Amino acid sequence: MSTYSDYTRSRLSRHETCTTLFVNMVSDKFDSPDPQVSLDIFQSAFISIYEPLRKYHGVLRQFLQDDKGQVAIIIFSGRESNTLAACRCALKIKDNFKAQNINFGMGVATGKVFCGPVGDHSRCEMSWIGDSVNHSARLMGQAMKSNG
Amino acid sequence: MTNNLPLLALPHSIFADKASVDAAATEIVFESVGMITLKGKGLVQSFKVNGLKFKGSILSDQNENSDMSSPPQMFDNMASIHSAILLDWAVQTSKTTAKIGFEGFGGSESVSPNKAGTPGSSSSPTKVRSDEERYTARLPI
Repeated sequence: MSTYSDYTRSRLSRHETCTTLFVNMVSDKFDSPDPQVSLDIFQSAFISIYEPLRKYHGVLRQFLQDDKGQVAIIIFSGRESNTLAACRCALKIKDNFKAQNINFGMGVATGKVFCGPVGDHSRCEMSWIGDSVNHSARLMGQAMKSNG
Repeated sequence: MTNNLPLLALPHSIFADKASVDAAATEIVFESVGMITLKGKGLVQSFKVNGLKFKGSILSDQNENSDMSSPPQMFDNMASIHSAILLDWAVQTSKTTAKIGFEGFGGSESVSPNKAGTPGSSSSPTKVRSDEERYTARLPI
């Protein structure tokens, strides 16, 4: 059996203090009857998130759309100023969304999480698993409630 | 399909936990929203992120301070390791298949027609392999 997967895990897996930023977006334009309108607003929302994310060295863990709206999961790790970067990124995203009239809620939580590749050589992805990740998601939900 | 979601008012909220506030309070203004109940968490202390305390950012030095293992670097490392895994897989597969004869995709192998159980059909000397044989032949074990 190849030991590369063990090597991969030992090299990349770690417990690390990370900051997780959850972003939830709601706009009536996302569900527009015209697919092009939906696509355009979806694309602009993505860019609104991705530009500040790159500026502050975050990693887009996921960008998904479900019954609760559009959710982006962003991770800041590997630096001492993770939290500061996450908060500044959140504020920048807030400005971008305001300009587009997109309603949203965000949650920021810092804590020690497992960070590393999960999977085997045929399929593998970077994962961040921990209590603070869940906490961030709950804070995002609370932020949405307070908006509504 | 029409959407019945109302366009909500825009007092946008960013909520943070106490650990984040402690780490970023030198530059960000937080406002306590008191204890709130979160699903699966119970009552927790939470804060609202209001804005920057002053202009400018200590984060401008982040590009120079990139000797730490940042996530993009980790992904780069993972990509190289993944390539190594694929190469290892290819080498091992080629070694394994060399022992039993080259199978390839739709290729033939040096098995006698009699063994293959197809008497009289010497023009296509292929052997019908079980699923288990095929699996072990293609994967590095």
